Amino acid sequence: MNEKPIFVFIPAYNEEESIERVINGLKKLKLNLKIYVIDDGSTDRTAGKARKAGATVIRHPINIGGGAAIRTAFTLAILNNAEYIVTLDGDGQHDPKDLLKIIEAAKDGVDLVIGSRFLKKQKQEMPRYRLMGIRLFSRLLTKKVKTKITDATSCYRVYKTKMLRRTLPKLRENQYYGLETIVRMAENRAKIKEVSITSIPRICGKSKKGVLKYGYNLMRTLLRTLT
Amino acid sequence: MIKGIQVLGILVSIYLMAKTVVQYKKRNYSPKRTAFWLSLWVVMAILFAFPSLTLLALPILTTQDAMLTVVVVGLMVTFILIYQTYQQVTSLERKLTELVQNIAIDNHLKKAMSDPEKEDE
Repeated sequence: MNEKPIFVFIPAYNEEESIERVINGLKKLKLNLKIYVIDDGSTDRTAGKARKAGATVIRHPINIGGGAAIRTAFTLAILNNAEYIVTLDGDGQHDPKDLLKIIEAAKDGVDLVIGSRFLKKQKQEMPRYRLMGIRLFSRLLTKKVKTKITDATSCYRVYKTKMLRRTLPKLRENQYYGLETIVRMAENRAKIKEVSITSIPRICGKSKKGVLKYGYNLMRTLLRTLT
Repeated sequence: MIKGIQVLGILVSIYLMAKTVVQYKKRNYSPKRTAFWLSLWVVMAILFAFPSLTLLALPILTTQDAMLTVVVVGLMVTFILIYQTYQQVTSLERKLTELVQNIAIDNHLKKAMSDPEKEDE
């Protein structure tokens, strides 16, 4: 897996303060990486900064949501005949050093590796309502897909492209796509595994998830995904 | 004896069922989503055919007939409008998303073909 380039996709919306740091962190790993930033219609300098840091930028002309950005990434992965792809957030809350760990886990014939912030006990810098939401949805998802899921919304993942070819046509969600991708991949009998990752507190910018919006969108996604 | 309002309710339910099947045939709905909406419309049709069932569950509806009719008709119209809007928003959202994604990928591929070295930077 190391001879071929590893495709890394970073969906980003208005992440000018953190995107360079994320890309530079990945470059420091000295791996054969092809880094793509899917700029989901940012109104700030996210695209320019990502390009300057050495990433290839694919730009949505308007903001349509992280789920749409990730589907653009999946389409590009298929077009590029990538074997595996890695996705991580552009807000700097994912540690690039964990990349090696989740790639290693993907070698065991696993179709989807999820980086979980909750497998090991560690301090979580997120509001209580989000923690409760993640726990609730992870439990519901565990029942649905019959695989233990502790972090249903984590987007630090490795996907096997072969499985994405079968799953992509079924994906619809523009928000909170994490739940949907797990359910649809499980329907395709994908082997899913979680590995522990480090949760880094956000040091710049601010979360775009307010309590009401977060609750409403998660409920909506759950209803649409499970019906 | 079956009342006019019941016939109207059943007809509206059948109309909504037909609309749901059309959406399924157009592949806008998954089988599960189709089943969800169809079961909702079937329940609605059953309640209109046998309104006494609502008396068992919702005794509060046993108000004056005229008032009840207005409320029921109003609700039916609202159901239709909400459902139509839901269909249109879902369909438009999908089309818009696909359009935006296609533009982004086409632009990327054009750039990659015109200047492959720069694209790899």
